[in-house]
Amino acid sequence: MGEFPFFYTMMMIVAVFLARILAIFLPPALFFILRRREINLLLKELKVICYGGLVRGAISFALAYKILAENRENKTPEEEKKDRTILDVCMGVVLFTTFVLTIMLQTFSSYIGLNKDETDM
Amino acid sequence: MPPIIFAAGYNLRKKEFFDNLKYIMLYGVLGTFINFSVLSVISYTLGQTDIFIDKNLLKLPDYMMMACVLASTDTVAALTLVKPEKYPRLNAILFGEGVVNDAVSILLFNTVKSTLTKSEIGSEALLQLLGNFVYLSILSIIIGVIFALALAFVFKRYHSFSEAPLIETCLVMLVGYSAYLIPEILHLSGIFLPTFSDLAFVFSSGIMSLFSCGMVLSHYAYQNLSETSQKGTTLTFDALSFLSETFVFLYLGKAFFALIAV
Repeated sequence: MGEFPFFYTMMMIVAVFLARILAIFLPPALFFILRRREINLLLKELKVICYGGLVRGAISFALAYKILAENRENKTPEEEKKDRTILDVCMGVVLFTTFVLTIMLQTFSSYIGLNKDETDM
Repeated sequence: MPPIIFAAGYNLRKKEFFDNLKYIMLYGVLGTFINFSVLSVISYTLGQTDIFIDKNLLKLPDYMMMACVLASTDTVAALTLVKPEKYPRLNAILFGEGVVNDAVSILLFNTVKSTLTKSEIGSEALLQLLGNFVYLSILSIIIGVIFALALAFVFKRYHSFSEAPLIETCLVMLVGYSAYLIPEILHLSGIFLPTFSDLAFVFSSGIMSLFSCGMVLSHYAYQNLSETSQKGTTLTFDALSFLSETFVFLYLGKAFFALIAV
């Protein structure tokens, strides 16, 4: 694995969580503080939206791959290494979120109480 | 990537989408921007601490690129959980947010890439970034709508097309492709960027026009297609989009094992 930026990737996964939570809960909080009643979403729905958008998928990886693959023959080794690092971090995040969060989906849904009447299936 | 976006636009359930447009835009556009800013700040600060990663390896533009890449989400997994019959609003918001987020993050990626590599970073560059973003999105949506309306008109005027479902399906696909291609070519030559032409940007914003093209096509052209083509186009684009996504994950697996092997 050599130079794979392992700890940095882990920190970025945490950062992704943080950014998502901020992005989902900040606007409703602002509206609430300003006493505008324009957002009628339940807290439960917000949680589901928050969780649903945590997974990074195909587009993320494709974009990172595009950075690396584009104009590759004219790159200095330093630039190549930079782009390689971005791809590595992105790959770590995509793999983690896709596998772990998708597996946790059932746990999450029972925690939120989404499929209560379907448990007997 | 283009097939994914086109299929998303074409097979969108428009009523639910526009009913919840407020939330979708709030989270799809504003949420993506918040995501992007928070991620840039965190990744940059983390990088500067020199603990986790070599400080001199990446510069601020690289961190911003990374934030862009990580700001695009994938809501497919969560959608399997939220059934449209039981939670129509939640499903529509999640789906719409995912689609808008895809388009916005790709557009953001292109904007950041071409703005940051050409000039120094400062408040001016950030303003430019925002201006370019708005300008490009509006322009490309207009291009996509024009293409879709033209095809819808052709189908309405010449009914003989409905005897050849193959031609119809291919036409829909090719018009979608040109809606993607034309903005890319035009922006390459800088025709549509008079205000920013001194910076000689190399833009590609086909994604947004592709999405709007797919949406308008399914609204206006769909009714004039023969029944076979209606089913055919829906299935074809879904299959193409699914296939492209699968190929991206194939690449991911390949890259992962290449990394282990090194």
